[in-house]
Amino acid sequence: MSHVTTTRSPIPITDRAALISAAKKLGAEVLFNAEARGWGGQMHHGEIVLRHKDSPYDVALNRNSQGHYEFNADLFGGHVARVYGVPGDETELGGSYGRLVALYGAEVGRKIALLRGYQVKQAVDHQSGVITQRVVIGR
Amino acid sequence: MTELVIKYHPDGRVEIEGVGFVGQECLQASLPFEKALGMEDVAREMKDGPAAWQGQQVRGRGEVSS
Repeated sequence: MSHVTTTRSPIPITDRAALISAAKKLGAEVLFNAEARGWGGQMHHGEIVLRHKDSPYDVALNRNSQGHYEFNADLFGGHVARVYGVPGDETELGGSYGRLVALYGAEVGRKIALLRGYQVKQAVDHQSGVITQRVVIGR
Repeated sequence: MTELVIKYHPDGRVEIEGVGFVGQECLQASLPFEKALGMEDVAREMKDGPAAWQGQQVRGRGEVSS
């Protein structure tokens, strides 16, 4: 017997280490308790701030009342989306932050797999932004 | 060989497919990943199982609806 489990809604971003790891893999500098830059010199605070050489604006991440990280960034000009998003993805989350969101999930999955001694192979579809992991459980 | 194929979508959805498992082993294998990823609102599709499971869906944890 096999099965497929699919989420109906986006997974919550709660694993700080996985989030930081994913951001660094996209080339971001990770700042803590810092001010994120927006258009016209506007600043907004972030428990975590992602700064990237290819974007004049930063991404601030703060936890909501449920402990889930939420994105806050100036999306003007599409700079943030070009760094962290998936072109053509029409969802708000995917278009602006899709690469980061998918990579965050993959980092969480990889961590669990390696903790359990499983082998992991990972592939990225650069057009859709979907990351596929094959986790070998047993032979 | 038994494996989990996990797809991470840019819109935050995650899909986990168990391949080559026997019985309920696939569910046991995927649960640690579901828990770590915070997958609470999920749909499960059983494959090659008893007819009674076909098309059933699970909402949250342990609450089964058809």
